[in-house]
Amino acid sequence: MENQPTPSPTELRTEEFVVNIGPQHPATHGVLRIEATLDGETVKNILPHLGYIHRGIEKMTESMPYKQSIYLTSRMDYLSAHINNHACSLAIENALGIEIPARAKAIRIIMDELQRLTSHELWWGSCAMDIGAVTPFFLGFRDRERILEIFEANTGNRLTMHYIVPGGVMRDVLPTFVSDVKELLKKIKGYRHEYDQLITGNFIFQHRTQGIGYLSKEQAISLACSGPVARASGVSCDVRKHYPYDGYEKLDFKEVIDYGCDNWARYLVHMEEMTQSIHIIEQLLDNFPTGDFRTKIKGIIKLPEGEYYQRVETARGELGVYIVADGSNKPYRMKFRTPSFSNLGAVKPTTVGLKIADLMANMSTIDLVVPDIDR
Amino acid sequence: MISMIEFTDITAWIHSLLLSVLTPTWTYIVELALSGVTALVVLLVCVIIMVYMERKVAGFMQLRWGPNRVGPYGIFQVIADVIKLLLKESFSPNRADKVMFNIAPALALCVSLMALAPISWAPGLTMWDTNIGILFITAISSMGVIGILMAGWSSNNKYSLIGAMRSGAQIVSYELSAGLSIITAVALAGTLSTNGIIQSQADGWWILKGQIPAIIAFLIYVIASTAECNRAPFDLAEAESELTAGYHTEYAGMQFGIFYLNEYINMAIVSIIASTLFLGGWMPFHLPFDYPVVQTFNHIMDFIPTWMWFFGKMFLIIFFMMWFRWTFPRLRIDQLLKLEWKYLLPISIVNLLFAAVIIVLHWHL
Amino acid sequence: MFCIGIYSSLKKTGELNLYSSLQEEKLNIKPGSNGTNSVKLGKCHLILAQKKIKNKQMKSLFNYIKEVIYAFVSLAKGLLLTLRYFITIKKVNITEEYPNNRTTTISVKERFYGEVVLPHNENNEHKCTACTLCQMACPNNSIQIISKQIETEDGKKKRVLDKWVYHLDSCTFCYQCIDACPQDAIEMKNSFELSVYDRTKLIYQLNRPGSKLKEKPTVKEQQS
Repeated sequence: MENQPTPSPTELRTEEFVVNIGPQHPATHGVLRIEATLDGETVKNILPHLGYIHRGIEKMTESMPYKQSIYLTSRMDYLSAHINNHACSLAIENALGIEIPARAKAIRIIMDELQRLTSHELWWGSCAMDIGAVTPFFLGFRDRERILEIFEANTGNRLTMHYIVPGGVMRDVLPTFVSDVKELLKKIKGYRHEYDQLITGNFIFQHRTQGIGYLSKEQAISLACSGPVARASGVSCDVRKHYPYDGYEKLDFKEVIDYGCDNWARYLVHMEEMTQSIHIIEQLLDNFPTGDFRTKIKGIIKLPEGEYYQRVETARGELGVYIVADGSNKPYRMKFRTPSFSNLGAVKPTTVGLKIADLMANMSTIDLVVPDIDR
Repeated sequence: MISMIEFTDITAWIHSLLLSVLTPTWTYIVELALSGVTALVVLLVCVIIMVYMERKVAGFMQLRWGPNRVGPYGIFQVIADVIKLLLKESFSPNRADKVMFNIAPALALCVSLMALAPISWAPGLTMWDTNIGILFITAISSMGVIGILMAGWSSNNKYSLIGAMRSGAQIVSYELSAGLSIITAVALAGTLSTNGIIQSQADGWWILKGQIPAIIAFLIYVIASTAECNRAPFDLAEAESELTAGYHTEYAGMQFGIFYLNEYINMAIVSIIASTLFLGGWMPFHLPFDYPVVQTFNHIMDFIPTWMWFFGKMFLIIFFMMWFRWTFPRLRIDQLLKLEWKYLLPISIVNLLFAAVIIVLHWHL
Repeated sequence: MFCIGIYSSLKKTGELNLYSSLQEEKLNIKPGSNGTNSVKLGKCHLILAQKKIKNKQMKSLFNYIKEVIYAFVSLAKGLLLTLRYFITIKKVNITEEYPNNRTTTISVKERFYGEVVLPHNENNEHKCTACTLCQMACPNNSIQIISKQIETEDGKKKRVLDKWVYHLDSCTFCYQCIDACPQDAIEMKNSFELSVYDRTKLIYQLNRPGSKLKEKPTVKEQQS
């Protein structure tokens, strides 16, 4: 301070200041701390600090048998619990070379897509809330609640289901499952116009998102972004299309790609993905396979020595499960490549140079789940 | 009409009663105190209703019940909240400017209460019946930012500071278009006195008589006053998802309660002014035509007491503001200023010119 | 109606010059990696636009009015939705009045994973053979099977269940114990009000005092 020349009376001395957004802040949806350097309202630099909710899931899996550790993955991205379990189960099945019944595959995909719907509905509400509208949050929860009821009735849990297990699914779905889901989809489709009426068509919302948070295709690829964030920047990265698993190759659905690269494009990708998810579920419900829901596998799974990798598309992007097996019933190392961790990198390039309110808008459209970042 | 007791009768009775006991000077002082206390009590009751109303409106719009635990339909929720706030400790953060920090809420409250003086509550019931009532209100209402700026500056908190600065920019800007739309109504009425403006609407409210310019002015005034009250979608000074709570982040207990109260008092005052200017204050709904049917209609309208008209209009505009709050997303700071300087201000200037043409040519009804 | 008012008021005054610069903002929407880029882009477009057509000003005013009208319409749509919810009396409320509806309307599904129970029949018999498969399947060590050796009438030594200790405080309701049980001895009840003030109260012994293993029907009985 002393080295600085004293300003002349006509000159107003200004300086940048650092604001810690989080770890406890209404906009971060969890315990993420963002160290933002501000010049008045303008954001000059962003420095995310991780680790506030690090639980050592990867390390815990090393001390647990394969079957037991799967339930931990529901706690990573708690909004895509089914899909996380799915990734782990697929990795183990591929390593063991197990073929699972057609009914189990169908149930898994329906559950995955319902999970994607819940996640996107919650995202829709919280995105609108970050931008300042509170009512959409309740509408999003209203629709999400109906899906959670299906989960509760069939899988027994609402948030951290441990339903998809190696060999199939934990229990068979209820006999009323197909009719329940059909009714649910009808309801959700009926509510979709309200989303457009309240938020998509809203002039203020459009101006808050259009042209804000620019993430170029090159940046998205170099930051290893995936999911709706990358697809909104024109990167074709849907694992369901490129590396199909459990029968996605037989289904008719579009990979939603937008070339807008901004928040508005990310918003539209999310909304269109919900439509696609509904479309996928409808196809499966029309000829829902009968038969066994689970292949019997041994109580203690021992993977043959080697390295296994399996990727799936969660609601937030690509989840990779990398297992190094040493022949015992526990993994030597299990690494999760979580989508939110990579997508977090997109916060800085999208936000720098914009206003502080845009930081919240960017963070919400990038759709971060903080436990997924820290694991 | 015979059975109805006018407010002027009551005030005259109190005046004569006091004169019979006290000297004229003391009568004057006691009347001043009485009127102040009465206005404050009425306003506080209004605020309690408004807080309850806000929660219920929010609840119904968001498919919830709103408060329903304390008392039947949760009507004592606000009282329970006030008791909680009173019992909480008010403390100031470390290295805050203690004096400024502690007087900021009181100052903000004082400023907004000052705007009550020239308001015409009922026929002949005005605390300060001056001929420049509206001018006084416009002068006072822009002072409200001082309390917010002091609170934000003295809190020693960056969120508070950003919130206060936003609020400053916001109120200074929106004062312009609010003022211009007030001028439109004043030009139509031809007087600055609140009583005079209401009297000029005896044969119909300005929003009906003033044609399109009055409607536009009313809309602009509602938008601008929502911004002046720091209400959503213009709640950038608080901006929960960005600045946690903005300028009152560091306030706790009743100091926070006073800011909260202040927001609602501001809302009440702004809606009273809007109803005075455009919806005829306490004046019943009259149609400006000279047919026998209309005459009968106007006469029927007179049977509804003036206080009902006054508070009905006030709560209608308050409902509009709540409705906006629970529907719209928040604007960004640059969009907020753009809305004012590029849209509201040009439109209100043009609107004022248009209104002037109408007034000069006597096209208004 | 209001929009028409704005339109007419603007049109009548003929204040065209006022809005010549407003086209700039329209073109600014093009995204740039940061603020500066987009501003440059906008200015470029502005100069081009000004050179091209003279009566662009008229068009920009038209765009300005169009924008205002569009804004009003889009906001009014949202307002109508919230107003509809506000005035709907018989609405589907998304919240539950929980403590009040715990005996009436609350919906807890049959399969909801609550606490683990060891069902006993009317003769105080359970099906647990103390094989400890559930204990091994539990990822959180919340099951503790304490068995004892007893001698049956014909002199054989047999391992039977002494205590089935359930640590509810560390249970994550993952269903793996029930999945692992070969006897279907345990199940999950859909109870959910499990919280207590003292953590030690969450340790249960599931087998009732004096209970014993339900004898399996012999082959003969099964045939008959």
